[in-house]
Amino acid sequence: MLKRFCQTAKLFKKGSGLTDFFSVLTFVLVIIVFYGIFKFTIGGSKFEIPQQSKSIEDSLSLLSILRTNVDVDNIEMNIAELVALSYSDPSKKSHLEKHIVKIIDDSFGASNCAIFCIGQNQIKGTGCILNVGYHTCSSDTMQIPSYDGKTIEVSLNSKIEPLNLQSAP
Amino acid sequence: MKKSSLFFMPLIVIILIIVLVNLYIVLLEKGSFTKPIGSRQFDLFKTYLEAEKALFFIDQSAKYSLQQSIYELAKDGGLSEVYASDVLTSRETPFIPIAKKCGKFYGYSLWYEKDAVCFDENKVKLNLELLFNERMNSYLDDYPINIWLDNYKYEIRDSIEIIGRAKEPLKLDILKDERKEAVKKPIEEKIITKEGITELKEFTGTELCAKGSKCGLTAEAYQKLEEAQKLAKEKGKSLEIYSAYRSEEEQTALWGGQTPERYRQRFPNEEERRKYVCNPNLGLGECPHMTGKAVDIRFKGKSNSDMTVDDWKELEKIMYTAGFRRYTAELWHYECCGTERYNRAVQLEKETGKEVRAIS
Repeated sequence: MLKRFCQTAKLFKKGSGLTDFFSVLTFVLVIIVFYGIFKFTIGGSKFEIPQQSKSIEDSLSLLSILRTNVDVDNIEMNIAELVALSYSDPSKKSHLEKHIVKIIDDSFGASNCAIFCIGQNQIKGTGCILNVGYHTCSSDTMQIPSYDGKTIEVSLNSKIEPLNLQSAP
Repeated sequence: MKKSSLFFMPLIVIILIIVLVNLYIVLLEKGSFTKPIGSRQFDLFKTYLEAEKALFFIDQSAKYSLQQSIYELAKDGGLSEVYASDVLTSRETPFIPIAKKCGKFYGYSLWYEKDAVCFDENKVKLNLELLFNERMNSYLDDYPINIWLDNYKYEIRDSIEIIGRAKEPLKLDILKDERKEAVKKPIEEKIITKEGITELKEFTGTELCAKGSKCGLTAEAYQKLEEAQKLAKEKGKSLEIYSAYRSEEEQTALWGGQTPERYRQRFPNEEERRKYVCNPNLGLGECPHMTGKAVDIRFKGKSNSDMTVDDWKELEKIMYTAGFRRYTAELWHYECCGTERYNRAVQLEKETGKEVRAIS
């Protein structure tokens, strides 16, 4: 079968000039048309890999932060418990901020801006002091339980780019 | 010049067109055009993270639930105040807290009243387990994704350490965006009962099934349920099933005390236990849930204790119109489609010429 195909392919050189011309033209047209169809169908959705990766990295970091054990008034508890505790006991908020800022600075470096959000309340890393501008919480949130049976929404937004003042209008 | 050489080039073009058209159709069917390259791999990562987050939530909830349960139990003298309608479905006294019989004196639960002993110390662990499960359910019910309720076998160790082993694994749909329709529509399954094979519609995760519950019914019963939902919607309400088909294994586990309700341990006497749970060894007539033709139902957004008398009355009317009959001892339990109880109700209707909405 393959041998026969090769023989025919060799004979192709001796084919009619007009048939060849129209065949090549059709070939090129088919490729262009299908390229257009595929491009049109796929081109609708945007997908940015760096953004997706960042979202996954932030979620993993958030889980690690929440699992980190800290010492609060000689009692060992993880950050998730401290968040729940400060939710019902506002006097624990200073402990929470102190520990979270330390963890963020250790994890992302004091020069990088990262924000830990509890609901819409932001706890900013040291790097955010240098990073002038309005910082937003990540939309990729996580639920943790509170002591009163409700859920608390937490999120992490790391590696916030410095505000580019030159490109601002 | 050979004829074959004349047609070679057009043949190649035709083959190319066929291949491209075929490729387009295959990719279209697979939905490849709607998902960019790499997105599925990211979906996989995200699902893994979703599971990690859910497991973390479960762990934390368990910690708080245990602390809270111990506190409440200690405060209440080792007695747990559990409403029969929520956990122990007492057939005679559906809304009486059955764990307390002697009541309270100045806020303290009484262990003795005259000669009557109201508190069995051996039941403290069971009460703790029951309370713990109740707290856990309340946490898990609030979590955005569907986590099975009453899904853990508990073991309480000496230093008040509680170990929970999941009966069913956490299930997350990796390609949830692509399968949205498939999740919403009930899936048909075959179940094997003592009577033989029956078609079962599994509607877990749909609007009709309570969050955290698994729901399945025979096709006929499901059709009637849909009719009931239509009637409820006309009245601005929505129905919610929290228990439907139970396999023989599930019912045996319930009867045998292997579920968080711990019926066997709480009621060692079988006659007493039968007031709260049916014995699967006595057949399908005794356990209508095993037929896939019985439901425990309420209005969406309300727990059994939140349902008012008017709510129950309205529910009964809706369910009767759709072709269900209620079991008199349980305001939430309805049957249809030829169960023993249903047949008796229909027979009685024929004999008396009156509506029989509920039967014992």
